[in-house]
Amino acid sequence: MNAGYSYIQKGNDYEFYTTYGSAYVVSFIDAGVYFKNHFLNSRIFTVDIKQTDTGPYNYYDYVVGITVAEIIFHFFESDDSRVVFYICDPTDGRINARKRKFKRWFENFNSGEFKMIESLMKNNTLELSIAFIFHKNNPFAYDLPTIIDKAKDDLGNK
Amino acid sequence: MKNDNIIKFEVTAEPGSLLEKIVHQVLRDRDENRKRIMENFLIRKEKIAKKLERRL
Repeated sequence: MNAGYSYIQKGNDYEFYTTYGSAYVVSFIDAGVYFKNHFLNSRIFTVDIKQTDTGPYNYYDYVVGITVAEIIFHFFESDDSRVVFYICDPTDGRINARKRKFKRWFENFNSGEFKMIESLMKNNTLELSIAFIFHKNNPFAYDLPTIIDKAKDDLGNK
Repeated sequence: MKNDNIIKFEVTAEPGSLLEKIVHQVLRDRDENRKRIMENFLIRKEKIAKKLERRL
């Protein structure tokens, strides 16, 4: 692919700068602690995309999406049994816009190797969209709906 | 258009459920991570600005 910006990898953080002067960091945060006693425990990460500098121009830059997709797919290269999930930020009311954008990136750049579980989670206090991405041959990732379904009713003190 | 690579499902979490707690914790962890990233970025930016200032 390699049509995106060059990026610098530091651990699980990937940083890149655009030609329009803005800067981004794509982070993968270990989420294994929430999946105790499951194969996914050491293989599940949340992904977050943070714009660290807006730069001098407010310009739509489609190469950002390409770069984010390349970074996410690169993250799977070292271990294709990983699962990455993205929670659309609910704090500023732009949850649906983020959901659409993330889904569009996935649809445009997925060559058929990856699957996405798109989960809408709601109750009185929250409404969230969570997208799990995994390699299509990762059998453990297909357990996710069952795990989530069980956790939704679990009122134990964990 | 239906996309075979996307599996959709919807859940309603019980208030106080494990799922709700996990989601809130993930969001808190993400905020902490964003704070760390911004702090590191600003420190580096300041260092670069000082270097440039010395060169001028």
